[in-house]
Amino acid sequence: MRGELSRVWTMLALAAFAALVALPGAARPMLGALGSGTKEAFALDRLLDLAASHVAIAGLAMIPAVVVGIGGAVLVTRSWGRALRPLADSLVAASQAVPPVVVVALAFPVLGFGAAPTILALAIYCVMPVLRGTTAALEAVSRDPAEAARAMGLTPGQILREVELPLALPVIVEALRVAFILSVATTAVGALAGAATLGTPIVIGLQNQNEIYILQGAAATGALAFLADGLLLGVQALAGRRVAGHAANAAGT
Amino acid sequence: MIDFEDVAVAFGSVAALEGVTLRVEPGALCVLVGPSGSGKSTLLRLVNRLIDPSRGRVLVRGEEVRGLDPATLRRSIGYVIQSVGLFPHRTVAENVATVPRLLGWRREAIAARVDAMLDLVHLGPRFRDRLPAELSGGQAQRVGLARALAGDPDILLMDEPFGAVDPIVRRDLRAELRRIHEETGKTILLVTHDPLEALELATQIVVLRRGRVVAAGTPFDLTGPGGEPFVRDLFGGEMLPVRRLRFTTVGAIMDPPLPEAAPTIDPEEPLFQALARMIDTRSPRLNVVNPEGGAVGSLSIEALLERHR
Repeated sequence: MRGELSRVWTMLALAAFAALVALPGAARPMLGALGSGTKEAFALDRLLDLAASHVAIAGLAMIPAVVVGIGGAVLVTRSWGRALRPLADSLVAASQAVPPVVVVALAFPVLGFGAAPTILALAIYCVMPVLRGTTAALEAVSRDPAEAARAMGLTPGQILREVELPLALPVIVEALRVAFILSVATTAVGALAGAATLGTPIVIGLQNQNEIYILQGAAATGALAFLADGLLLGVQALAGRRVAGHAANAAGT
Repeated sequence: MIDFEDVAVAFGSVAALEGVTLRVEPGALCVLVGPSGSGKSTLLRLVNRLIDPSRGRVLVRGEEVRGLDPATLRRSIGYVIQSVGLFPHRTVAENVATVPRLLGWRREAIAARVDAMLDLVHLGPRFRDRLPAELSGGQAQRVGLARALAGDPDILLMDEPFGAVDPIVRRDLRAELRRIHEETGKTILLVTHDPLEALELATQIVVLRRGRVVAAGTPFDLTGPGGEPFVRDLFGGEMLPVRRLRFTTVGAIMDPPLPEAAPTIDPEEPLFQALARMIDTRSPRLNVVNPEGGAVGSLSIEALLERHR
């Protein structure tokens, strides 16, 4: 518990530091001190707009990733779906092996410029941590409560909803956090396909050789990833008090 | 109440049960006993369709279970397993309320039932809001029993219910079970590998070996002279005559009261208590005295030897 909270504060502190670096008033003098950064900085209000759009894209991509990931994990952990396990494993491994930037490049002729190809690429990229984490979580649930539930007359759907998923929840939430961090950190590549993200200042900066833009975009992306990690860790730590006792008990009996 | 008619169960090519025919009367406490792999748990799991027979019929309350919806059937039958299997994310009250909730009882009826069940297993209402992680092994077993009885099933299945608790708690739980059986009149089918547990609890014992019933009867019958060597060995070989003293009360074989002073015993006590008392007090004769203090009979060591068959 204490260790978790110190991780939360560490992440929030890192987020604050990165956000500070991304401020126009800070990025320009920093680079100036290094002898570069003579051009103008990226305006704060535009940076905040891009941050909002960045989070929205990262979040939207999570919806299909969560639906496919959790749905797939439930499927391959059913007795009748176990045969699909190897197929799911290889598809998921493949989805992780393809870099998102390649998916964006391949998708934008079909989906066009903007957010759509980015969301697709992120969703594919984030399926794996969700599916793998949820599968592991469901498999780690003690069989005794599920078996007792079956013997008491719960239907398979009720066993899943009332016993297996609640007991697997802490590990599933952990998988969702990892996937969301991955999504937030990777969303910047969307700028290549014209999506409004914190990658946008980086792309513009590269085109115009403006190091300040690049630093601001990179620092702001980092700040968002740290912030998301810190906040989600905090939520987990608060929710974990009750859940920790359950998990310990499930493992012990 | 429960009938098995020429039942066989095979897991792949391995026969778990073969040609089992058995009747469990309403209100019986039937104990299935036998070594590991004898098929006793398999026999139990046939009753609520956790497994289906590969041959033969299983009837519950006169209806063949194969024609019944498994979930509905299971909700009408209590089930207790060795590992208890309490839901770790739910409170004691929520655990106990499981089957009544599935049966669609009203909220107040469920709350009242939970209290009554916790009372029945001698756990107070202060346990209602605890989580299973906060219970001792014995308390968890009691909650498991309360949960199994909450839907007011007329049949209770128990698979090694006291296997995971220490000997002292096990003794208490056995006594509780006998009391609850007497109070509620449920038909109980209990699996154990402990022959002494079977002798202590059962009104009817079924001995299984390698998937077949090798003996069935009352504890008194199965510990009598003769019988199969396997069954005699199982229940204690040369200790059998002593074990059998459990099944006859002092009142059943006593003589009329005598005026001489002697150590006393209650007429409801089993004969082994009488023998223990004789050894303990070095007295060959006991006066039988009822709880109100009235002399109702006497018991001598000679009468015990002569009349205990």
